[in-house]
Amino acid sequence: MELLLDQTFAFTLADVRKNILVPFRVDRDFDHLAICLHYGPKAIRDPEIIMPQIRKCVKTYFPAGYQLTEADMQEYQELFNFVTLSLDKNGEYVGCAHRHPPQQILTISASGSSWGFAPTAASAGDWRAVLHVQAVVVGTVDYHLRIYGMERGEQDAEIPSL
Amino acid sequence: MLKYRPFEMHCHTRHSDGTFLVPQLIESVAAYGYAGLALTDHNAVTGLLEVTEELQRKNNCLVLPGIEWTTFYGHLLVIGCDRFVDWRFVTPDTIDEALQEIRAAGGIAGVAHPCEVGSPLMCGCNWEFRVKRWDLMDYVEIWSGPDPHASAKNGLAMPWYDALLNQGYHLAISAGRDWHGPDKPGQIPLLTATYLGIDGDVTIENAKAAIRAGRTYVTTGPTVDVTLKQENRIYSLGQTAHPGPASVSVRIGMEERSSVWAHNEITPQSIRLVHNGKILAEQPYNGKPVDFSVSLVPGWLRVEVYGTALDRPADSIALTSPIYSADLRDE
Repeated sequence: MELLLDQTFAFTLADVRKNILVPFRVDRDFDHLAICLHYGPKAIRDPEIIMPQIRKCVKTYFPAGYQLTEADMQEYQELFNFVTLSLDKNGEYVGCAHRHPPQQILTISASGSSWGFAPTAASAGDWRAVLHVQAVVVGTVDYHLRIYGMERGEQDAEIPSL
Repeated sequence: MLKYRPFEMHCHTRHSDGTFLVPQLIESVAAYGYAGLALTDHNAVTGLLEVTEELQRKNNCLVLPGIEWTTFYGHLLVIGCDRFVDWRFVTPDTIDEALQEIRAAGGIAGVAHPCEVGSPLMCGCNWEFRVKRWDLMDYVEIWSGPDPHASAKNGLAMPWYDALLNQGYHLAISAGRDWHGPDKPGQIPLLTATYLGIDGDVTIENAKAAIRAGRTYVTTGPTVDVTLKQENRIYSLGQTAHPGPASVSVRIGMEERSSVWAHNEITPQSIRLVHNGKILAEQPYNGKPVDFSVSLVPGWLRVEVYGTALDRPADSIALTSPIYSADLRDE
């Protein structure tokens, strides 16, 4: 396996609603790419942090005078930091991982890719990951992205953990 | 021949954040008696690679190829593009260009859950795009979720949508369950359906044409047949009649797909005509066709069916896209 990219980010409230472009060059053909991402914290449960934000949401998005119900309180016990990743190769869209798990290994190959990504040869070319910063609830979200070129027979289990 | 067919217009699979496998979704939709579904995974179209002719034929279920543009500023349902249109860099002020691209690619576009809660509770779910060219939009998801009256968002969406109609825009309505995973065995929840008035075979192009033309209605179960007669012409949903006297006939059907909704005790009680946002007429429903004699001014006319569902007080159980009225000189 060959490490193609290793980059860390510290996202704050100022980054919310930003698309972070992460171009990377692949110089030779591989069996597949392994895109490893990890970010955190994921869930924020401190009532002192989340309740003011929930109240602000209620004021903004709910009918005037709406009072939070017990059911609402059950539903809104936590808020989530959320960063999604999309990918393109030589300017062509490959796909997106629009899902919440904060640790993922995404496979890209001609014979089959992870959910949301088109089967795409892990070949030489200009690739680009785009990080979509959907939500930063408070403070900083530490995001780590590593991309490996993998040879035939190499397994995800061999990838060093982030 | 024009026939209204039931669709589930908003579905997700494992290709985004759903738990459905694609075949499992199609089987589940077919089991509830829908004629088709729109596969609208968040920012992904790869689920379509798993949709085969055989899978659709075996389940008698047409899959409309779609995607839900899940952006920071709102969610847009896009169906039937002949090429990929990039969702990633659209901003509140470039949405019109994106809508033009969708149309150029042969697609149709609809606002998903416009009045959903926004960030940080529901990231990007509230519609904040500053659309100037509403003529490039085809429909609005007026009911989101399985139960149309279970959350505040749908109550807010109705006046939001009516305000657009009052500005003269022609927009169809849809209902979408925003379905992410299988129901528990043996439990059929309250469901909605979007009926599309399909002219000819049930095909992707004919389904898109139905939405573009405004031939849609949403329901929790009963079917709705609306005709407007004026002089010697008959107008149906999405068409444009003229100001002046008209007769409107409404028939409610209680048979189609009743095995999946009758247990919710859905009972139509009255039929209302809403003209330019105001109640024009209302009659009780007693199981027979209901006829109205009305006088139209320029604008729009919608049929709303009220009744009980589950054990709740009467609320809307079906709504139609409008029939429009315009002076000859406006056409």
